Amino acid sequence: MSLTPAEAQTALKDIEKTESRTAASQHARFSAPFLIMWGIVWVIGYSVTATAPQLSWIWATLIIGGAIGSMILGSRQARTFGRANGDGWRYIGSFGVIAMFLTALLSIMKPLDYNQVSAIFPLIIGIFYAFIGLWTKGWRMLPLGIALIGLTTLGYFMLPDYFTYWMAGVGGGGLIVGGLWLRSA
Amino acid sequence: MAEQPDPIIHQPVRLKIMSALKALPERELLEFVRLKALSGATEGNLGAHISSLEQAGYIEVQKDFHHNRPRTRAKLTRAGRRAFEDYVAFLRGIIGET
Repeated sequence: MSLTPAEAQTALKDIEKTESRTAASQHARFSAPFLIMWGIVWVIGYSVTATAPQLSWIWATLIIGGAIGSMILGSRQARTFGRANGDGWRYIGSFGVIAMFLTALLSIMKPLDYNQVSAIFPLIIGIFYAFIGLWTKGWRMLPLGIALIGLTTLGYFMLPDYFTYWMAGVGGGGLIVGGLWLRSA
Repeated sequence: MAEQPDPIIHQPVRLKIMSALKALPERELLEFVRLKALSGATEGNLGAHISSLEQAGYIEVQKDFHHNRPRTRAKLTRAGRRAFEDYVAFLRGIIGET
């Protein structure tokens, strides 16, 4: 049994292709339920604030619920994929850093109007997703991140009077659709 | 470096199975249905190749129930990981890479 250099090269390319496809697919399928859950959080949060702005405290409840949900999902996904479940501190740390960053940003940039505050969070999440797509095997996060940034900016300038409805439908709905797309990977 | 390729791995479908499992972190498992999609093999064909790799001690197969449905998953063993790395080194040796 002997192999020519061309055959060996082809085999190495096939190996690399299969490894990349597998890593991308696993990354997408692991991430999918997180996006769907946060999409639901956004739909509820933006819908409530659009229809009853006095209930803006709902966001604190939803974000705490989402953080707890992320930890539960992380544990469940780790079991499903056979991974070690040692990421709990990463979720807590991530939400802590985001909370600290948003508090600092909103304090420095104020006074901000309601639409500006509503746009900041999706823009930050969008850039976060885009970087995940660029720097890890989960390339599908890149178009999701770019779409989130683009649609948030579009709604902010084109539909200022309906921006929170826009974010409920396009932002939250977009995350849910994006999660379903990841799940199909 | 070996003079001949490992005959267990040196087969297109088995090579794809090994490549897919190698892409995962050490303890992570890949479902049979995902392996089928990634290798492009038919169900019967895939089952036969998985058995060959399992008998060689290169992969470990786990069967359980998930959401009340039977589930088959596989992962590389340490011997399988080492054999795959040797196989890749063999290929690199042929094209003059070290």
